[in-house]
Amino acid sequence: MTTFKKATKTYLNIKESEIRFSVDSKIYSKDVIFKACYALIDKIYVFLDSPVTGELVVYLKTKKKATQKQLEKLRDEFLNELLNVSIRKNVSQKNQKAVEHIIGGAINAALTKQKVQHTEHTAQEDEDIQEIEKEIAALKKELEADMKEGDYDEDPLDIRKPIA
Amino acid sequence: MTNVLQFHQKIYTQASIQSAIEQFRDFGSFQVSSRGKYFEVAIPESSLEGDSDMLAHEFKNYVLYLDITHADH
Repeated sequence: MTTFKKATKTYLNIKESEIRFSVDSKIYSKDVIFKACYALIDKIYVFLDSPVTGELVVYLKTKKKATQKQLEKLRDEFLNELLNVSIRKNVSQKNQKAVEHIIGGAINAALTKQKVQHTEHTAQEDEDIQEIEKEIAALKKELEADMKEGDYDEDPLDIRKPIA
Repeated sequence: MTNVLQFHQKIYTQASIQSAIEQFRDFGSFQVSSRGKYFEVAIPESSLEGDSDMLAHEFKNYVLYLDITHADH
């Protein structure tokens, strides 16, 4: 049995378990239609044609026998998916600049923070090195002073005893 | 006798058709040509094992799958 519904431009071929309907390609772009096809392509056979400019015909065919209701349900599922993909695309396009701005800001903030941390780290290291050098110099001076004070021949406490 | 499949050139790409032919080469020698606004793929009858319609539908599905996945979204 083949029927034709003028309003939806739907052709039903129950014998072949196939439903065919047209989609206005001015409303739905090719990539939106492709994405809608992708949602169904693993379950059924999907084929596209464009016999008239500006009109895209979608063929949906089940792999097993299907009733009229099942075929119409498939068409409705496809049309819902078309809307779904179309809305997601519109929202994505509208938010694209905001998303780019947020991501750009986040990357910039992360890079600036990293740079500041790196600069601070270097200055801290320089300070440490200077302190260590000062300590080394002070220790050297102390050692030199000790060497002068600790002269073996001087015997300031008079404890040296002659060996008999 | 051959089964000829038509693919609209504004929807399907030749690269996807060639790629599908390569994948289906075990089922026979598929010949591709261009006629008007369609690419035509001829599937020789002798190459069809079992359900010839099923092979044609599987082939068309696979070409569409390749075009969907290779399209730049």
